[in-house]
Amino acid sequence: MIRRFARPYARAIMDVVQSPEKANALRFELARFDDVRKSSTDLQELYANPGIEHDQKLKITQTVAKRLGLSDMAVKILDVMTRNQRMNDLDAIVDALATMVREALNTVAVEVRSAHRLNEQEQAELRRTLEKKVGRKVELSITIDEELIGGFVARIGSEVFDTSIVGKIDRFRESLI
Amino acid sequence: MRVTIVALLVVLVAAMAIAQKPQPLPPNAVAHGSEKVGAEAAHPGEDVGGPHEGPKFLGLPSWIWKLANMIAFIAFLGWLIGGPVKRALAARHDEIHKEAQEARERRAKADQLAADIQARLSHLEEEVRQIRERAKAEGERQKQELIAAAEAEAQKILQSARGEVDNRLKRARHELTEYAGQLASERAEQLLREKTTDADRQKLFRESLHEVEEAKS
Repeated sequence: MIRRFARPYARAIMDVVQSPEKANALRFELARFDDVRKSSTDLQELYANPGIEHDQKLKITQTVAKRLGLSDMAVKILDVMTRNQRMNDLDAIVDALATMVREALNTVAVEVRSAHRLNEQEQAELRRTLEKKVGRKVELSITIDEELIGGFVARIGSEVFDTSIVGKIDRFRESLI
Repeated sequence: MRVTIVALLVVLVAAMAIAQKPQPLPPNAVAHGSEKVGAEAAHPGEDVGGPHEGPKFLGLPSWIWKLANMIAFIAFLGWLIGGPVKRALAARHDEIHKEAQEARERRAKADQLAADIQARLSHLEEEVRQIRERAKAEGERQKQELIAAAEAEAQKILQSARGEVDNRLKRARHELTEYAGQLASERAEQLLREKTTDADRQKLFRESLHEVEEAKS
């Protein structure tokens, strides 16, 4: 669900880059920056403090962006967000952009929890299988969950495919109740 | 008719009034003293001096008129009060007749009541016997009903107890199964965690892909 304030930013980014693919690439750049912001309390406090000059904030943002290797377009977008005091809402804007990009590319987001780290071949097989299942391109988001013992859990929207060993044990246990 | 009678009575009364009027006597019409004694001696057995006959009216002595007057008065009186007295007497007669009738009816009822009481008294023993029999039968019926109710209640309690035992058995069996399943699943999970290798995980991954392909979405 797109948050209300995030929609104009996401729409503006889509309009500026004029291509869903470019917007998608930009989204990943912004997401990388947001990961850094989330991991740094100092950065969060910096962007939350209205007493600090915009130029200082921009300088720090550019430094971080340079280290992350972000494009100029990404830096410009971050600049606008800094001016509008929206840097701490970057995750919502990235989510909104992701939703719009998926709609434009006819893809669907799939969250996968796997019991082991999947190699490229396994990821390709998984992607192919899921795309065949949903009839659309999928955007995989894979995390490792060793508690599953084996197999994986794939969530596509409200639909869940649980083939994990833990899931099977749980279903067996529930069948006895 | 009545007017005629009243007129006649008026005439009679007037006549009587006239007849009653005293006749003036001539002076010295009454013998006194030696005259009276001399006259009695000269004409023994004769009335001496004074008026000899009573007053007359229309040639009839006044006592006849008085008698007629009395008769007329009595007739008038009889005519005057005859109707109401007759009616009163008739009403009284009817009333007495009615009271006599009611008295007869009361008497008949009292006789009937007395006869009933007498009859009941005569059947009292029979009634007592019947009451006793009925009471006995009623007691027997109540006894049978109580026995039947007690048996039904006992049956109900027995069924309830059986149901309770069955339920508890089912619950115990279920809990036992659940516990066994829990233990088995925990043990299985533990073993799988310990024994699963990377090769197993890759194999499980491929099987999972197959499951997703087969799954109904």
